[in-house]
Amino acid sequence: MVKIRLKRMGKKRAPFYRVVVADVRAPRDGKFIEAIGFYDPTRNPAKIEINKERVEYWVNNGAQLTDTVKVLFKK
Amino acid sequence: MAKNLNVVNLLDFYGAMLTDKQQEVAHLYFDEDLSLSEIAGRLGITRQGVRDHIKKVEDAVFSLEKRLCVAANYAKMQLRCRQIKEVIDSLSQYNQKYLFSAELTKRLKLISELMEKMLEEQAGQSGEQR
Repeated sequence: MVKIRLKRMGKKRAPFYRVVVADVRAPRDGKFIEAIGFYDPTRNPAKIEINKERVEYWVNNGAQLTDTVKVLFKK
Repeated sequence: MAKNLNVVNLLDFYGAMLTDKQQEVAHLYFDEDLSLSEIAGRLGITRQGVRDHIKKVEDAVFSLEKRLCVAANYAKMQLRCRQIKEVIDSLSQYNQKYLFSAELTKRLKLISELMEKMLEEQAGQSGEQR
């Protein structure tokens, strides 16, 4: 199964997340299929950018969003 | 239990004070955004066990921050540095417009560099890529 989840990038004390499409079995080594957006909580207000078309494409292909991504996507 | 991403910031400050197991669970949960059951499957513990770890991690970092305020102080320092940087920039603009002093440009640059260095030192291993 494929999931759309956050993946932390950036530096220590400066968190920055990519929204990635990743195989459920493989994210340990950071491998992901496609990056479709980002979430920057260090900005005020936090900056979120997610490619809606790609989300729809992946959801139509059976991908699931994690709860955290769902919350961000609604914003 | 909604994922509280404020914890992520606190983990950067207090993560080293947690046990290895707590750090591992916190990393998978907050940095890799795995679900409780995914972590449970991966580490060979129960979902409830993972949840207990997360809860302990959250309690620990919030309690440490309440007593030590390291994260809050760091944020305050960052704000002050941004304000100082604005003053340096305005002085630099003034210099370029009216004073044309090479010496002043050099010293303003030095202040900026020292401030950047101070921020980096405060952040500890700030350059470390995660």
